[in-house]
Amino acid sequence: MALILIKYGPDHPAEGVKLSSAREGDCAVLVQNGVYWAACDALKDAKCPVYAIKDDFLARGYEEEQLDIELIDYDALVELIERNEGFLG
Amino acid sequence: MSKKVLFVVYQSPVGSIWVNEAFRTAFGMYGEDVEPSILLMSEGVVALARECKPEKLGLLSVKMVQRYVKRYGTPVYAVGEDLDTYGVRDVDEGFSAQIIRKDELPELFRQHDYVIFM
Repeated sequence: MALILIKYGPDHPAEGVKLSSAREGDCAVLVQNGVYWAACDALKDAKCPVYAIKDDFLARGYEEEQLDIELIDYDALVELIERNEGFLG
Repeated sequence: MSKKVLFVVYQSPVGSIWVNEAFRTAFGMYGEDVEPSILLMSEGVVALARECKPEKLGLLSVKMVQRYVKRYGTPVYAVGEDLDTYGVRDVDEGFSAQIIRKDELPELFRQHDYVIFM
């Protein structure tokens, strides 16, 4: 079980590698410019739940109902950090 | 039980400091209960080129880490497809790098407790 943190958008060389390494039992969180992934089809192939930080998502002009992704706050992110033994980010 | 940490560098060794920083951070961990490894991918693989010499531009040499790689036995990995993409044909053996395929990365990540992209 690993937490995968995605901080940059789809053009970034490392982020696709991180996402494609996801396994069942992991979870991925989109933070900062990582929320741009929410607008990509690539997330449909993700093998684990993917969340986005709500503040980062709204700050970039998206609306909650616009994209199909679960939004979380920083308290929830802290819980995920505590819950997952491994880290990829 | 020691934790295994993989430092991943994807930025160029010329014009960014991250290759040197990854090695420096790794070497500093041998005093702790940590087993560090280094993965070079994307532009980062250029660091393995025998003729890669950032010092020609007044920057920090990447060769300076080789002595410690040898001393500590730090595992160094590089993505083969990226070596091809960036035209690295003459790999400097001083890094003792293991060349792995892109599709082997998920398994490499799973072998480590923490994977830090720099």
